[in-house]
Amino acid sequence: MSTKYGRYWALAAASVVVVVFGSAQATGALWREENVVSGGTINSGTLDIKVGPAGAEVNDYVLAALGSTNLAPNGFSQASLSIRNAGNVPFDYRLQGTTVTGAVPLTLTATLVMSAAQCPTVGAPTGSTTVLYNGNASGAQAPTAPAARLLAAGANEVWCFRLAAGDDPPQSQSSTVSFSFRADQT
Amino acid sequence: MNKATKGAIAAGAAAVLLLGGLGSYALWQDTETVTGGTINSGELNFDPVANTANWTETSVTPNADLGTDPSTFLIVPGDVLEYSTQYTVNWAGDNLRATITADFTDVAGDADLASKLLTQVSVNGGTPLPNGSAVPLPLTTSPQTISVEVTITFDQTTAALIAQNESVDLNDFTLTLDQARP
Repeated sequence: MSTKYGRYWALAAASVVVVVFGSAQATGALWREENVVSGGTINSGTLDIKVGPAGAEVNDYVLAALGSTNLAPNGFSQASLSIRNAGNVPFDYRLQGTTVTGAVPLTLTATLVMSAAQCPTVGAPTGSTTVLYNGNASGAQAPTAPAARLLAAGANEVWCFRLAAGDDPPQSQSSTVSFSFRADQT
Repeated sequence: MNKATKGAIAAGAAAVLLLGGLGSYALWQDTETVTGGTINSGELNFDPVANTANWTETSVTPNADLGTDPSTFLIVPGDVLEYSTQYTVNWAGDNLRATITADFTDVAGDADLASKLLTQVSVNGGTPLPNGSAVPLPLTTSPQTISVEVTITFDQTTAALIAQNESVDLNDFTLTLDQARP
């Protein structure tokens, strides 16, 4: 094929391509109607656990009332902590874990009480009580997983913590306990 | 005589011959009208049936009726909501086939929540297909009432505090009725 006629073949081929392309486009142009649907609005919930004094819970709270100085053998300190569902969906929660730093071996007793007033600084918790944990203050978990306590949105529970020094604590030492609570969607 | 002159003479001769030929058409002639019939086109359209739209929470037993406004329901991971509504399809055509497609790509709202909502669509309780899929619509009689079910699942693998306290506006999703050729 000479160069002179090559042009004509190229033009003919391009025409065929245009025809084929136009035909392919035409197959998509069938009848169509579109309706816009007003389905409404979907909102997601919020899961939020807070701890602290009843009615003033926060995300991270220093429970200073549980601190104590000059503990003698078998001495203890006791204070209450409110755990609140600050979200708008129910959750299951537990004391997930505790860590102790320092040389003083401590025993933890966690008791569920009806209000902070039933967790005095001295003496046993009063009123209707449920002991949730009693043992080493380090590595405590209550209730033991997978068990958990159900807490409705907005509701709270008050725990009474007691940290006891034991029969023969080392002298002039200190320990710090950290509590970690975990909430899971039900 | 050059080539151009010869060409001009040849063209003039051809024109004269053609003009002479024109006269040959003016002979006997007859015309008949043919009654070929009428061709009518079919139709395909759809309209919502009033007061049939409803939301249901299907991830609980028994299912919970949420009414027409789901905004007061706070969705959490694992929840499944179903939006159902009815349409009247008017159709005519011997070779007419149709599909329904739901499109949520223009849904407005918070990105985290929108990305965690899986949408599926079914027609007349058929097999749910993912958002954007053309769901075959069996055409039986016209007008035909069909139900469209849109299932929205909040991804159960959503962890930590992702997509909390967010909102997705479903007031602008579209249903498209398309003719289909088999």
